[in-house]
Amino acid sequence: MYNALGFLGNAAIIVGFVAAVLGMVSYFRSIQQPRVIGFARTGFHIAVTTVFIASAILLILIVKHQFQFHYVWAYSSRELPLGLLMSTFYAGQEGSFLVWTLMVAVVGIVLLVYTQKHDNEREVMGVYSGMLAFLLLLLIVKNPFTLIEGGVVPADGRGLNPLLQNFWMQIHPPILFLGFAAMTPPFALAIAALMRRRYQAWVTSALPWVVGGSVVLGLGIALGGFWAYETLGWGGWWGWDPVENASLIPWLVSIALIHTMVTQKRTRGLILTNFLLAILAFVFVLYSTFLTRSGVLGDASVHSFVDPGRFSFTLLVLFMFAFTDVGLALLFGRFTRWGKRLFEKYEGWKLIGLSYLIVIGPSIPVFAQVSGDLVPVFTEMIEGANPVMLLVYYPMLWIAHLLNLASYLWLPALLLKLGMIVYIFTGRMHSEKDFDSFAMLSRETWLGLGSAVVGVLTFIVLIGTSLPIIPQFVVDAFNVVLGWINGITGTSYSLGNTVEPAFYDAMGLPLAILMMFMTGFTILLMWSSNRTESLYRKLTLPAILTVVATLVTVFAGSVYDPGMILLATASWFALLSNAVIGYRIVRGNPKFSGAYIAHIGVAMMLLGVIGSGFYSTSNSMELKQGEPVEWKGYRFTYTGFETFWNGERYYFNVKLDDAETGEHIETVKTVMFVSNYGGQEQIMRNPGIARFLTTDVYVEPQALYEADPKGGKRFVFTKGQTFSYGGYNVTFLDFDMNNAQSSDVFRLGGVFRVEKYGEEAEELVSQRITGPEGVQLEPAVTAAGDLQIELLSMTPNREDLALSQLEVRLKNPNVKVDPNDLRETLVVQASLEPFIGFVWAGIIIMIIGFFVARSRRSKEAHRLGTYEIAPEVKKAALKGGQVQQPVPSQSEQEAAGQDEEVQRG
Amino acid sequence: MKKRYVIGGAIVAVFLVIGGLSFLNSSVEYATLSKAEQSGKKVQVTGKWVQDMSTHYDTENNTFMFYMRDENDRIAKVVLDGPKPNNFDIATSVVTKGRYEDGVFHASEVLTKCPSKYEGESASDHPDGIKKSSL
Repeated sequence: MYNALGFLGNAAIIVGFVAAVLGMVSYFRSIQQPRVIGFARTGFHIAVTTVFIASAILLILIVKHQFQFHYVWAYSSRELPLGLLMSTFYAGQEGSFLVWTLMVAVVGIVLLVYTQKHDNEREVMGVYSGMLAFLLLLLIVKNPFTLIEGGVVPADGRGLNPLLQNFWMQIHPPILFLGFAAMTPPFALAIAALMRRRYQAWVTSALPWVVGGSVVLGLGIALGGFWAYETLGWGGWWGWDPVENASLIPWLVSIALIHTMVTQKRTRGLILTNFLLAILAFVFVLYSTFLTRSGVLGDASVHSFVDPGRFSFTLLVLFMFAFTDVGLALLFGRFTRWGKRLFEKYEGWKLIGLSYLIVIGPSIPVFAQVSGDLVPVFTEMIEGANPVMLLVYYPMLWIAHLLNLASYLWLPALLLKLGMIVYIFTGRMHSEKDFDSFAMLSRETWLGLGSAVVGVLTFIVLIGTSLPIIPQFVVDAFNVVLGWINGITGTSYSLGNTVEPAFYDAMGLPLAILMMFMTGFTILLMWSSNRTESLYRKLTLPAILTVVATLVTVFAGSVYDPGMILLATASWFALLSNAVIGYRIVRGNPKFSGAYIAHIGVAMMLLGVIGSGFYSTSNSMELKQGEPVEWKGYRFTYTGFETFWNGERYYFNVKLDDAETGEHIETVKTVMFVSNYGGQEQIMRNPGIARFLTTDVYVEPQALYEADPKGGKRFVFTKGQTFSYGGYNVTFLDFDMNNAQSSDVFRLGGVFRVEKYGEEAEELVSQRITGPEGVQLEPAVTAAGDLQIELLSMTPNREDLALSQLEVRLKNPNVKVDPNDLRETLVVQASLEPFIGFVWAGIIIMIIGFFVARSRRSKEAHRLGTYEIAPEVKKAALKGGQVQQPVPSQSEQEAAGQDEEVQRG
Repeated sequence: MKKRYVIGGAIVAVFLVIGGLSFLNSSVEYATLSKAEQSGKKVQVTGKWVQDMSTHYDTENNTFMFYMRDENDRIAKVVLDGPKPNNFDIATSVVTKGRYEDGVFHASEVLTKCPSKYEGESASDHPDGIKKSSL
């Protein structure tokens, strides 16, 4: 019965894909033939429904332990509690694609209702169905309903990686994917607006989506950081890991986009910028998935991903090209002289098709080059495929042959493509000229400049994260040029294949300082123009407060690093300026408080970063049970362990007391256990954390030494085996049987090689003599006298003597065994993370601010109502001039006016 | 040309230069052990942990020692600043970052690549011979 369910899940994905493609095609057709819209909607409904069905089926299979399915077997097991069991849904690649698809489907339902109200359903949902089709196609290739070959039904699954067995890992992936999904509507709305030449109103209707997507994605990223801090034992929450960076990039773009959209709403400027950023935010989501899911970053990330297979890799590349080119095509068609000439006569389906052909043309050879030779991939797939799939695979094989031909042209095609991009952004930026007309002292200018700084930060993260995938020959070519420069300047610069986190720290610091000063300053400015005197007046209070707060930070917190002092000043300025101005605004209308709250949150987070990122200290200590060790005003005592998780895991409790008063503060529970995951015994460790208002005490367990009444430690050697003890590596070389048997004694001997790092290796013989007087040991001792090898017993192997085992005790004879040594020792790395609580609090405050802002923007979008193309607007657009917009509704004007009114007061 | 563009352009230019130099300074090359020995710079070496040679965790210095075999089958002793990384035992390969000095590779960071961390391992590697059925 469950096998039938799996088959149904498989069928659902295929039906869903077909329905999504038909939905996309007929939505675009319906632009000129309104009759087919019913058909299009049905297609979309079916696609969404199949995604729900497939997800429900996978969940049932997991919960019911149907291990005959490879995915269920590979990631879950019977021992997992329900919550973790359900989280195995997205523990693997197939399942995480399904979660992404599910989130896109959920968002799609909301978007469908929204666009019907705003009367841009056909274009928006056409694009959106395309995205759904892409994901469903990916699922056909990477599908979670594959059975294990040969009808094998394993009794239990392989289980979930212990690192993922954590509450935060249950909610982090779905939220992150919801954030990814939420970046699709702004893209679809932007494409629809470009198709309709509605360059203004779309901003109002897309803004709540951007803010919403940004908050969910931000929350997802933050939860990932929290997981790293709580479980991975990074000692920090952000490591500039490529996978973190990959999701940070679209988020940063969305932050810039929110600010430029707000600017356009007020000034009608920055039109091209907003289209570009909305497209980029989405394309970077695809790029992010490509980086993290295609295996290209395998060498550079702790999130180690194995190659998912050439076909999925190619699909991910293909869709990155496809969606970027939709955007580029329409920007070309709308904002360049040549593009306008070519496309102005076409609408709807023909517009998409024609513009697409022209822009995607040069992409084909580039794509062919990136994806590599696909002929063997499809040849292999054809072998053993069923007849129905052959119908799909054979055309693909022919396409692969054509692509191989096209790939010869990749260089000219790439240049053509880059040329086109340059042409779009320089050729005719008429829409951006209004940025020139903004007054220097106006909110719009500074919002634009601030977004540019966010853009620079995005670029830094993008280039650093992408370095590992830049082909070696490009790096080599670059190094040749650098070699010449080095020859002239006497320097020794060279380009590598990956960057250190220090690069992001170094570049992030000045940018963060700049951003915070700008945040604090911009919020003081009014739209359109400002008088200098009134600006000074508004600046006074925040400036005074900033000086006070910074002085307190510097002296109370001993912050003397100039960079940190600057960052503290900038962050306090942003925080206080937003608080002061925000307070005035909120008294007038609490609905406008979103931006201020969010800014305060960001500033607080950065203040936390100063503490936890730059002033964290750590210390490695050995804690003998019951014996306190003091460090930084705390007294650490290992008190013993307790078990949990059916007795399989251990809490090693470290009691934390005040070193001066001796007062008990908290008991930190560090976790260590032996996991059998992956068929290998290995030790897993999770840190224990004591949280206080101003600092966290973070204790990472490293090792546990059990006590032995005779001291030392017992090992069982086979020939050639090495163990480490007391700084030595001890290798059992051979049995020494030279004088094994004399009249009445039996001598057992073992030859050992003993080496210590930095010292010469020794070869030693240890003996055990069994005679009439009983057993006598002749242990071997090293020259330095700090290691003794005792033979305890031998387990002979009759078939192959070489496989016999030797039980040995290694100990340091200088260490007297006293009762204290019977206590076990816990080795920990303790660190103090000052003000990390500010980071979490700042993030939470920022998220609250986002929600408030979203509710305001969504009300504004609601007031906008429908916006069908008015004929005169269309004509104006055809002439290429500035498009006149319908006057904003009265309530919108009121809302806007109020914002300023309160500031003046 | 408006003044703001000049100022903006100057800031961007300064940033590009600083950023570019910082980028070059902090970039790390992928290398083999031999190349690491030659260059003496901080590099990234990918290889496999040699399981039948010894490992050792030094509690005093908090370092973990193991042997690694690079793609040219050269074996070197690696000393990592820190304990044995999580998932080390099931790693199919390890990525180490550090310097080769005095015959020892001093790693500041070791990443473990696991077949099963986020992705099912390739069918042929699995001991039980469990494979996905073809489509």
